[in-house]
Amino acid sequence: MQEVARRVFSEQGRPSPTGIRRNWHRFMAAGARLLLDVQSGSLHSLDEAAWGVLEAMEKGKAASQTDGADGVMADLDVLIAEGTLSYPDYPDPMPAALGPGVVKAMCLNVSHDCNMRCGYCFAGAGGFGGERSLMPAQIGCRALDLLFDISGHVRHLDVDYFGGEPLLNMDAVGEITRHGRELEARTGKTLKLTLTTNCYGLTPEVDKFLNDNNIAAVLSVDGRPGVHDGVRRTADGDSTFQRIAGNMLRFVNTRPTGEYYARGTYTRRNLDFVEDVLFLADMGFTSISFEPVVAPPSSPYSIREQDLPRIFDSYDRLVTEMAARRAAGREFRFFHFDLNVAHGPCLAKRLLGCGAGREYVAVTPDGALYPCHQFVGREGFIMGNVWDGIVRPEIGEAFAGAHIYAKPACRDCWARYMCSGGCHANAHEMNGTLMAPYSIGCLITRKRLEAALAYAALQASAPA
Amino acid sequence: MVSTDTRKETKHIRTIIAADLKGTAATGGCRECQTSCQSACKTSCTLGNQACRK
Repeated sequence: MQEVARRVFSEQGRPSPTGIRRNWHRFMAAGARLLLDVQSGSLHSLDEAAWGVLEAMEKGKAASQTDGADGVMADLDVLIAEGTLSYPDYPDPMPAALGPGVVKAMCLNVSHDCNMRCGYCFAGAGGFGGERSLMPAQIGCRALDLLFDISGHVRHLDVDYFGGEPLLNMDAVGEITRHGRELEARTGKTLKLTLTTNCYGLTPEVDKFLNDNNIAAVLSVDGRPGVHDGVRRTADGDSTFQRIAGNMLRFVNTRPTGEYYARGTYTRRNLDFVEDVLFLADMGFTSISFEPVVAPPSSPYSIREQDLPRIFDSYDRLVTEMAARRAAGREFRFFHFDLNVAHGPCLAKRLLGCGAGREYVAVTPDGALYPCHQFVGREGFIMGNVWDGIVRPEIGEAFAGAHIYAKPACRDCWARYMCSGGCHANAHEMNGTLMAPYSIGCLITRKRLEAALAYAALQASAPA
Repeated sequence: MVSTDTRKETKHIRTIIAADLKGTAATGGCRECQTSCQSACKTSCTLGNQACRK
């Protein structure tokens, strides 16, 4: 064996198969052999010899008996020396300090009412299990006062107008937005506003308001008309695709540079959701996001384990279709493939993920604070209110304790720094605890990340 | 610290994207980044597609 290879294994010992499986994630995607170094976040491509050597090492077999072993070992040493590959038995890095929670983002549920009745709605058709109501502008303005106050040194703040359907309460949205811009001017902080809508009530006046006020838009649509109308209908049971598609296209065409996402939910009924993504791309939308439904197992929409192979096929096909369209000059963005591999978030951020209850809270129309929009209405999760602030900090502390090093299912998962432990609300809904992630969600996330990394590799390798 | 500028050639393994997540253990935590579940996901947090604002 060459001298460089001896250096790694004589100085640090032979890496354990467990460490290799945990920290060197080797996978095939889009016809490429890839290796993610989990601790550094670096992405490598492997030739057949390297694939074989690493496979043998994962199984605890003698790598030196594999073709090309000496050369592969030499490569491993180069990568380890430069830091793009981590010695797999080193412990995970720890951030200097996580510090106390600082709320810097709010989801304003400006409407606990909706003009649609989507079959899979986690918000109970808008009411979140309670009475239908709209947020008075005064409550929203007070929420922003609180946000600007308790965000302390953080300068970039995020607020999402959400619901229910926020367009049912545009007067309040307008007043809250004006107040937010005044707070920006007064404090020097930056407030990024987003509005999530079902587009049913989107009008040219609303288009203009969103554009004039630089509000990002998340536009809900599920793709092909039959798929969309199979789930997303009005309160009277009417189909909605034709109307919302027209509204969406008109709106998007008024903001050539403004931020938006056409955002869909896929369910058991459209496991071939790649067709829905491509349908929206063919309509002309260039920023698209699709999410798996989260529904109890009894729901006819819920994703079951036996549905996963078809979902995985959809992600695989999306990679190749997106690469082909990019090469043909018809590129579009898919939210979850938009990985920032080289300059993504820091380690501290990745331990805690979304920051629910600690950096992010949801506000109900009557001013109650919850850890996030999905916890609204769940018993025991009211953290405070917009007048008194957070009065039950122990709730946020429980969320802070549910980090990836603390959760058994996350500790040894190769995706831990990219997924960051998954959605707390899904974990709580499916398993009754923040400490055990939703297992089907984990399987989908891992596949989606592999696909995203494969797409990143294709982009990095494509001619400029 | 990652430095691929003066590296030796590798034959079997090609680095596609070099990253230094470990290095941010000491430098991160400013919290200026976007909140991950605040835009186009809302139901399945993923951090890989967030950017560092530093």
